[in-house]
Amino acid sequence: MKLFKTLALFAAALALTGCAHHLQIAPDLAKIERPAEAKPKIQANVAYYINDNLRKEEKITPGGGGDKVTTAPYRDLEVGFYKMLGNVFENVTLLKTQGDGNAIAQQHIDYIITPVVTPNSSSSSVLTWPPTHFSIDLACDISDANGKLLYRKQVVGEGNAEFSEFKSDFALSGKLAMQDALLKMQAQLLELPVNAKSGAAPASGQP
Amino acid sequence: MKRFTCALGAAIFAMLLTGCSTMAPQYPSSLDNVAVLKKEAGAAAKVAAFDASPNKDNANPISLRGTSLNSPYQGSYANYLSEALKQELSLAGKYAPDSAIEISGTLLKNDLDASGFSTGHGQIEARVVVKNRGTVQYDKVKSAQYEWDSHFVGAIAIPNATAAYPNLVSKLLATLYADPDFISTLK
Repeated sequence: MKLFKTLALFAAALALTGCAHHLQIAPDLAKIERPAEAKPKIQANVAYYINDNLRKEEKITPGGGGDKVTTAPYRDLEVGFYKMLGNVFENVTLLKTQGDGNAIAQQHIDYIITPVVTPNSSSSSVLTWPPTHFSIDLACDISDANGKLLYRKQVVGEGNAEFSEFKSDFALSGKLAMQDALLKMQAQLLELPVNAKSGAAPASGQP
Repeated sequence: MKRFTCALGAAIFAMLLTGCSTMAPQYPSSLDNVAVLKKEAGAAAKVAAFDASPNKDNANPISLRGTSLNSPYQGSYANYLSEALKQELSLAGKYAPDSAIEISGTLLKNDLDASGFSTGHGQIEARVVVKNRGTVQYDKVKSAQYEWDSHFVGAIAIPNATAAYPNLVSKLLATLYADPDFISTLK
């Protein structure tokens, strides 16, 4: 009986404490499009690199009513990021390891882009846990094929969703923030003063 | 007091083992799959609607310890598979709605088993048909299995199984793209 009581207390503790709510905030890919009036694609081969540990990394940020939400920002960024880079550059390659010399040589990579993504969230509601506001800080370090940093671009994506909007999708504000960050980064990258292909040096830029 | 403790314990235990109706995650394309298509496929294709064969191994919704797992694509797992294929072809630049090459298929098996306390199992099987200007170029059945870490607590086991579903679909598509006969229809 003592064992049963202990088990019941343990189960009660588990049931009452719970974990942070998991949200998937990958954006709607159909919304990551090139604007009709955008400049032509940059004739360059780019590669990007995301460390495997970062793909698994989970971030805990505030939700509503004192609850918290857990997201995996790099995992949810990646496919949209790949599509966004494909909207800007002629060819996109995923590097399996940082500075993967073979892939860089074989694919004639001109630039290597390393994203840094940081989520944050909040809620104006004390009654519901899904965040009503999400922000995604997205930075991209753009290096040449030798790893020399050429540019750093940084944007902040914002997403808002009230109860009537998020009741069918608790992650809506996060998805909108991710979408906003990617489209803002796309606009910045389209303005990069580069048009070189296969090793030609870019125009001067501010790292 | 004894009776109350027993009832409370049983109720909480039941709560931990069960859950409620939920939605499978939208398909997050596998960039490894996209890289294969980009490298190996020469021509673009369009994707027609997939059917689902009605049988006991083709669950819809999928039952996870009493929780119903629904497809986010019009409640159809056949649509889930065709959307996943379309998404990966698009990302690889190999999707063209007006292409003469058409990929269609039938979902034959589709189920997740989250009843295990340590390991969950998923199985999926589909017949894939590729036609070029109406002539069948490829007609094969492809299948995949996937395992993931499960748990005796439903509140952990059910999200784990839910998160595993896209990996099962991704594995099936990887099997399809690894088939030289399939790739040769996209030349």
